[in-house]
Amino acid sequence: MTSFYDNWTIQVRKGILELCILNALEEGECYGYALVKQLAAIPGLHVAEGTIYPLLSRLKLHGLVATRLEESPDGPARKYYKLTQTGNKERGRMNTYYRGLSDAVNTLLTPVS
Amino acid sequence: MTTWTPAAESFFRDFLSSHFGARPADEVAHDIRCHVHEELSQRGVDRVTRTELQRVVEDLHPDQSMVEAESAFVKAPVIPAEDTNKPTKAQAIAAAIFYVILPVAVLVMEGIFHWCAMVFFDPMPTLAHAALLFLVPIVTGSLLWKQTPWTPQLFKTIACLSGIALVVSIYYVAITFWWIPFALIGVVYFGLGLVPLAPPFAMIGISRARTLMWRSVPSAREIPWKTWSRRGVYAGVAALIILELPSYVGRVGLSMATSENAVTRERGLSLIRIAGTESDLLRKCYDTGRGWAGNRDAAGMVLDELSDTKVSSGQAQKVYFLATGTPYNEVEPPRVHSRLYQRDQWDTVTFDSDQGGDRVGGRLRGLFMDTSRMDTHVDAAARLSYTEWTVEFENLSPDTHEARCQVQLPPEGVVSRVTLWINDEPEEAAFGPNNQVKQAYKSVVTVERRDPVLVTVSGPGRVLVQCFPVLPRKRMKVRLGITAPWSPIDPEVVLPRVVERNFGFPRSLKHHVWAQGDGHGQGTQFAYTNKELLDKSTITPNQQFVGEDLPEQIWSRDPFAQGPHDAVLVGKRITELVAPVEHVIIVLDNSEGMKPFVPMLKEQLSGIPEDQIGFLVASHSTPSIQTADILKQWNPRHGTDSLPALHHACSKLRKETKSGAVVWLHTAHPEVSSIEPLRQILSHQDRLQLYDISLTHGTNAISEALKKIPQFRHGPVMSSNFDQQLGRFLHGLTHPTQEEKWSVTRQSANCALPINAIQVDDQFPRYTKYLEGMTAWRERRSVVSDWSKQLAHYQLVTPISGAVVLERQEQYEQHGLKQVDKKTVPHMPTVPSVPEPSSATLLMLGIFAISFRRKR
Repeated sequence: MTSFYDNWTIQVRKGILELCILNALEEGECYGYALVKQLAAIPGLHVAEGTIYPLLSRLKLHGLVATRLEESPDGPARKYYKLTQTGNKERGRMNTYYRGLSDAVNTLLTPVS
Repeated sequence: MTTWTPAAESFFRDFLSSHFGARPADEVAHDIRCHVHEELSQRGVDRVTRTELQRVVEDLHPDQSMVEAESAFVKAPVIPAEDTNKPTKAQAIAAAIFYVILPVAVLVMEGIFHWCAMVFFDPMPTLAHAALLFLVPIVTGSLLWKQTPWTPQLFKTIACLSGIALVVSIYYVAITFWWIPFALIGVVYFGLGLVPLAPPFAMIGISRARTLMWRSVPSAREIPWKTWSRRGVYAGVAALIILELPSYVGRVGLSMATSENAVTRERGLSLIRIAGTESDLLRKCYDTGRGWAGNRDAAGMVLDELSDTKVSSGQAQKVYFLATGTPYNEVEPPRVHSRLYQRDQWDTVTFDSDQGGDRVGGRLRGLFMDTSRMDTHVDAAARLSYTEWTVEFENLSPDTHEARCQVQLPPEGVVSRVTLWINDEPEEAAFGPNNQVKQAYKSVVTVERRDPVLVTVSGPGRVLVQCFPVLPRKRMKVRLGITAPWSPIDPEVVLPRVVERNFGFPRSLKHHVWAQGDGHGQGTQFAYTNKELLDKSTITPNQQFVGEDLPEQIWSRDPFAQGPHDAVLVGKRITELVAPVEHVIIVLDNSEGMKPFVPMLKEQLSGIPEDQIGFLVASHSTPSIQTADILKQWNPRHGTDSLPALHHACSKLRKETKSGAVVWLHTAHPEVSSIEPLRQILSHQDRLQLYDISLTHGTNAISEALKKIPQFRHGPVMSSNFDQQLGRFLHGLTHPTQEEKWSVTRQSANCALPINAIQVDDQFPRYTKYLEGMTAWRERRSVVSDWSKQLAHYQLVTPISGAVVLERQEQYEQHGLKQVDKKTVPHMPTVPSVPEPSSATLLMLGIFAISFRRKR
């Protein structure tokens, strides 16, 4: 049972993690490290920091986010992420879809007593 | 700045490969590394150890199933991934051949054979140019074939170098763009022409390599690649500006300096002096534009193609003199070619556009004076010296050359013998009127291209010697005999010397001199190097060489007399009063070459009475006559045209005095402006004398142009006591002086000779005829052609007669000339010799040894 539950939560999180990243970037450009920390700190999301970087890379490949490097005097250049126009459009569509899905699922869920 | 221990680095690599796949994408790896670095810096870690790293990456462990799912997702990207850009094997081979191997091979071949330099322009005039050009294919190869991960430092370096290489390749394609269509036609239709396409291939190569880098290495789209690549572009532009700008500025300055407008000309000269380079200007001087453009640089080619009015090499030669103060052919030309034939610093390549002409021109590759021998005899009784100068030219180049030089003769000297060795046999010259011998020489040089030597006067006290052909890998031997006056009052014998030449002097060359007199005793032998010959080209015979109590009367048989009635010349020593001229103007050349002589001239000239002598320093401004005070601020620099000052001085004397003399003290002076106005004044004013005093060797275009003007004469020539000679000369011009000379009478061979008269050799009638001829020519007493025939009959090279040696008898006959009879040419008298002390000692030892043996 535990194995089935774990797999199911992974599938669910995998589907919505991109949505979380895109929404986290809605407010504007964000330093990669801070973004990862922000997402990892959301209670209940249960995401490891190392998981987010491959997702960010893929979003960039798809052109949904853009990056900018800024030289740092004491280490590697800092990478800043921001939503592209395409990324913002996709975020809107994904939010709409997710809300519809969530409402539909909610109708089936038994309220917690 | 944090430092990572090797163990930490190793652990981190393992962590990436075990949690993010065997080869994590560069960007993810970079992001993880940044993340780790941020964590470490927040924890205040300076030295990253394995243990510290383990703690940091604790939170970084990704959800493995998520990573695997992500990997699967990434394998189907929207933008083509690295693998799809990877070239095929055939593409890789083609890239290697066209982008790297071809450009490198072409550069190496250019470095060795100078093909491009010989035909179009020199792409690698300096080592810095060569380094920039080689950088292009090297960087291309590095970008295409670098397999191992880029370290941050190497990454920045290659980004910067690729920027430089891109700029350099674009520049060279831009300047060679015009030949690309021709090369393409050659490749398409004839299968030839890849070499000219090396620049565009190199440019495409570096561009492609940078694009591949951009696509395949994600961080190449970010800082630091962009930053360092941009810096490389700036560095490339800066390097090209540093290397090429002086050439372009120099060319623009050259163009301005040949303008009709005087102000523009001056600005152009200033631009060249400030920002141009001498070597670029020299390239233009040697660029004959006749297929031997090997001395042209990139700037020259570009501006020549863009400009409607091209600056000729002749114009460049004038500008070079005005900008630097030195004639172009006195300076080592820029080298662009193989050193295969080089033996001295004068070696260069140029098409000899002056062959068969009247000027010496530029230096020729592989042509040298190989041996030099001078034999001098002083006939004290006749107050004459006779010098035979035998030289051998050697041609080490693969081309046939004409050796040309101007020889400065001893004061008042005249060439009285010319010999050429043909098949190791000495052949004497034919003497004739100038136009006749020149015509014969030119027709033989240009039509038959066989063995002539021509000697003509090229100015007061100067002769032009032309020898053709000096065949490849062969030698040519010639001899000049020179008769000159000698005085026991000033007993120096000045040696002839080369003042302008188109051949090199090997460093080992020495002029071997033998000097003897007609007194008792033997001759003496010594040698000068070339530099010494220029500095101290004099011999002062001591009493061993010349007899004491010199005779007051001499006589000689005249081998050229018309008949027995005047076959004997009797000379009697007399003194004649020479009247001074009314006024003297000394014109001082203001060119750079005068600098070494300024102290000596200031000392010699400042004591002269001012009422009779004025001074004029040649300059670009309006000339005006000054007093000796001008010498205090006299500071020669750059190059100056002396003609306006000479013209001004002659005009002033013509208007204001009945008899005047202009004394021109100068260094080398090429043709800068028109000599016609000066020639016109001199040809209409008999009582005006212009004296030429050259202080250095080098070309003298004014002297060459005025060689047929009788009033143009030479003053003292440079020697070890030149300062005293100059003082005496100026004193003689401004004060009445007593001058010793021979009063010559002719008589029949049957008449009795004066009792005390001493017989001298036939140099006496020869030189007497020379003096008569020159006096008549100067005073315009007779028809020139009559005197030219007489002087030629006496075997003399004068302003109106010359000498030529041809190869065959029919050539002489064809041009109405007759080779001189070998019995009538002057000969070097032999002097009875006694054994050298060392030889005598050896002889005595030998006799002693023989007698000692017999006794035993």
